[in-house]
Amino acid sequence: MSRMRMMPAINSALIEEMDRDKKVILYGEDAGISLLGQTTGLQERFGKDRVRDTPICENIMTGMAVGAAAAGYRPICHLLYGNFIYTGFDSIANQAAKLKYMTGGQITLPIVYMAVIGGGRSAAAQHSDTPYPALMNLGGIKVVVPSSARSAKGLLKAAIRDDNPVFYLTAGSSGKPEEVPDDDFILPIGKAEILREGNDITIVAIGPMVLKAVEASLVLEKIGIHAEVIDLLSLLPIDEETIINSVKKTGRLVIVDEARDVCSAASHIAAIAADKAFNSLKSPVKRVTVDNLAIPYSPILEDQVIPNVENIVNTVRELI
Amino acid sequence: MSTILKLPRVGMNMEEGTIVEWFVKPGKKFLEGDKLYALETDKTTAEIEAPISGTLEEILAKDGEDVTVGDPICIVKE
Amino acid sequence: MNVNKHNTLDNLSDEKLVELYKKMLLIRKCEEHLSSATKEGAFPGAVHLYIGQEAIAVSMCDHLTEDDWISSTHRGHGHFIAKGGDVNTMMAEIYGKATGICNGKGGSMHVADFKKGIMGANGVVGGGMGLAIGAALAASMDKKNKVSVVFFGDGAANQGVLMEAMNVSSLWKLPLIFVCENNQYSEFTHTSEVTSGKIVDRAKPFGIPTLEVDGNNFIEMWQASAQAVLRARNNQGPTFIEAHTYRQRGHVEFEYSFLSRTYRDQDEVNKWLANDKDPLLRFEQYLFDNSIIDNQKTEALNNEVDSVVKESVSFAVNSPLPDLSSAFNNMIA
Repeated sequence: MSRMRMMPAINSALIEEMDRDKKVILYGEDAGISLLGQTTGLQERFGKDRVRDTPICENIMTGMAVGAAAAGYRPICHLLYGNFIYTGFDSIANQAAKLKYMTGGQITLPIVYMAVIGGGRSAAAQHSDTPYPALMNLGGIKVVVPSSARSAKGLLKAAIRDDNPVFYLTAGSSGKPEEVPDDDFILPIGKAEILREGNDITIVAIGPMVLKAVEASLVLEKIGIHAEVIDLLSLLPIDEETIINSVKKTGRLVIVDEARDVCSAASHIAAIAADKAFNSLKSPVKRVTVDNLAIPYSPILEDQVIPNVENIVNTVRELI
Repeated sequence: MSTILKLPRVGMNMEEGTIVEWFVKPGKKFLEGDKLYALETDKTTAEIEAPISGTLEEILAKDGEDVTVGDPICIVKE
Repeated sequence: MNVNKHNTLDNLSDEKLVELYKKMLLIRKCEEHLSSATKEGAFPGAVHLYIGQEAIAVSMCDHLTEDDWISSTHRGHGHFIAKGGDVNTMMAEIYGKATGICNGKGGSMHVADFKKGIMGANGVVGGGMGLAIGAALAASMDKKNKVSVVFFGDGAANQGVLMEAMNVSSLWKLPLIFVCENNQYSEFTHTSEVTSGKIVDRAKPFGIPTLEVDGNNFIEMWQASAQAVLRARNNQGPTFIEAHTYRQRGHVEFEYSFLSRTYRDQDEVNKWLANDKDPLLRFEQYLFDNSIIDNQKTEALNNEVDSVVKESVSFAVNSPLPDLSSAFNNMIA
């Protein structure tokens, strides 16, 4: 085990996987110098061929991942910020997500598209989006949202070995450092983790919201409410079983999601609960999400918009 | 005059960091540009230079403490 | 860059020339069948026909092997056949059958055979650029002298992704060949009405050598292809070919049934159907002039190709429909 933060954990997963498999290549804007820290030192270690600085051209970057994957490589397309997924969306939506199906399964497309999502850094609306709702509606891809250094490492190694396009979306930073396994540590895609057990209410949290949900559960415990906190980790495929079993036990559900509310992961999870755990529900399913707004710049405004611990605690208290 | 120094954002993705070491001890003088403390963030560990000259009056964020961007970290007497 | 102005194909055997002619003829006859079958409602989707552009795909693909890659357009049957795609499974795909090359899931606009380096026709105008760049990147890393060809139209030349593709391919010296088939129409609009400047000139600022050719002249197109493929195989980077041609048919077959007005004169079309313009007739004339074929041989070739097309149609018609459960597989590995 090593104590590390999220970006170094991502870095170690990349090094291990690129060491293991020569077909793993990585490219992106400033991949060599590494703006955010995920790719620090990779170019020195693996060379400019396998770790490639691209021009600023998301349209071709997302598409060339498909061509390179079809031709036998396992490309990692580093898109920096989640908002730039929109810039390269054509090839994501029309090629990567569909080509396997459209060709009757002739190919597999082992691609990782990675980006940093969410706000909290005074980066304003064009660098703070949480774009997975649009991705979840594409089919043909997977979406994982690690919440910590440990899950960041385990899910990245799984994503690189997966034979599908996987969107690997993390916060830019993850709060406190934590112990991360040094060995070949893999978390299965599509499996949620129960971080805290409880019988009174289920809180399902996604990616950057997981820490806040855990903090909220600690506050709630002091007033005698025992929340079960689920770290979803994967959005597509989604671990329905863990969610449903928990809701059947607690009878109540709150979902915490940093995406805008309309057609979000949160609304999808609410629909799953309504469909498959309806008879267990003792109260309405509530969603703690972002309104139909852009993420603002000024920290006090940003705090108004992005779900916080207080929002989660208050929402839970409305139900119990 | 006393000035409170706050934790600066030293990376595009930095929200919080850990001050792993203070290079100047309380009561000691330093000049603008001197190395004041080492800051570990998600991306890197950086040695942060003093933005002003003065005497380190009090350390508010101890070695090993996690601090959020904008939190006060020390008081400097100019 | 200038096209080698050999006006003959002396280095090709007579048999080879006949084979190339036969391939053009096969594309032509497949498309003619699809044209009439559209009007009969014989298959479910719409088709965009390659008639009048056959020389481009056949001459370029003659320089490629199955290990090389192509990406194509929504007008992609010609590229599929030229690169060695199987006509029976292409036809079955268009008929929406289980035996189709994509099991009936792609249809006309998506015929693909990755095993033969055919990354497929593409429903997104300019959609093949990224695929071809990716394959070229893989080829350059493999260091086995494979090349990648992106066929696209004058319409796609107005997509921003072309600039990204030219920049990256030139920067990284990728073994890529841009083949812009300027058939003069962007869907239902004459390209001159929606395009500024000359398309071929767009590659020049990127340091990409360009070739501008009469795409209906098989010999000229074959020579240009040879030069471009040689550069790519020798790691000299991309080449941009603008091949001038003419879309003899509509954007989509049977379009007059739903368009409110015409958008070009029949006189203009007729001019391009003439012996001195149509690529198939011109190549046929070349073979006649060089005594490689005669009337008897031509008739035999036509019969042979007719039977190949007939067999493919029969294969498609008699093939089973896809198993209903197949609608639900192949989305995720």
